Amino acid sequence: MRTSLTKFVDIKRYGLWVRLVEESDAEFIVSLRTNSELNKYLSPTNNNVAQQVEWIRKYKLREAMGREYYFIAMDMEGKKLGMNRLYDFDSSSFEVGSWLFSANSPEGASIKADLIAREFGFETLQFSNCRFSVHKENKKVLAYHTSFKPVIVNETDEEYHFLLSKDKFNNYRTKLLNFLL
Amino acid sequence: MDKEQFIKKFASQFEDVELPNVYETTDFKSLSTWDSLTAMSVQLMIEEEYQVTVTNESLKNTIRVIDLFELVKAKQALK
Repeated sequence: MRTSLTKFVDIKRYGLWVRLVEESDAEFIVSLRTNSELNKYLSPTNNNVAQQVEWIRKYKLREAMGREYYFIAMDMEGKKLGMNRLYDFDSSSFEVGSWLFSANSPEGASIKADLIAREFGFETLQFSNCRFSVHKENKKVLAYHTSFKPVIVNETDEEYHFLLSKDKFNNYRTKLLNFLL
Repeated sequence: MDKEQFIKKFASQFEDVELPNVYETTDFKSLSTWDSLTAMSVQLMIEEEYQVTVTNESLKNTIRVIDLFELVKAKQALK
C-alpha cells in the first residue's frame, strides 16, 4: 500500500486545475454518468445523488489509505469539466478509468486530464505500468489509447485489456503535448 | 499534395461520417462527432501522412476542410 498523498493533489498544469473528488461533486458526477450521450461504455449508474455521496464517502477511506485517487478536472476558474480515476493498485501498476468529460469542455481538456492523471500514477506514485480496459465498440477511445502502443494483455468478447509502460507513455506524451500546447 | 486524398483521409478519422458527407467546404467542427479525440486523430494522421504538425491553436483557426488542407500544404512548403 502506498502512502496517501491526498493533501498534495492540487495540480495546475496544461491549463487545467485538477483536485480530488469531494462529496459536493456528487451531482456533477451523476449528471455526466447518466448522460446517454456520454455513458454508452460506462458501467451503469443510477441518478441518485445521495447514493453517489455515499460512494464518495467510502472512496474517501480508500483515498486516505493511498489506494485510490479520483480526480475532478476544472478550468482555471474552477468550472468542473470532467473526471478520471486511478485505482486497483498492485506492486507495479495502476488502473486508469472513469474517464468522462462534459461535451462542451474546451478542446483537448479530456486528453490533458488523462495525461495529468497518468503522470500522477507514473511520477508521483512511482508505478512502472498503467492498466486500462476499452470497450471494442468505443472506437474513438480505442484509437486514442492504442496510439500510445500499449500491449494487449487480455481480451473478452466486449473489451481489450491493455498494459502501458512508463517509457511508452512518456514518449507519446511528448508528441501529444506538441499538438495540445 | 492531393486534395481528394486528403479529404478521404480526413473523413476516415470520424467514427460515424461517411465519406460522401465530407466535402472541402464542410465546417468540420460542426460535425456531430467532432471532439478532442477526433481532433487528436486528425492531428496524428496529418503528422504521419504529411510530416507536419498542426497544433490545437492552428485547428481553432480553421473552419472548413479546405482551410485545413491549405494549412497543411503551406506548412509543407515551408519545410
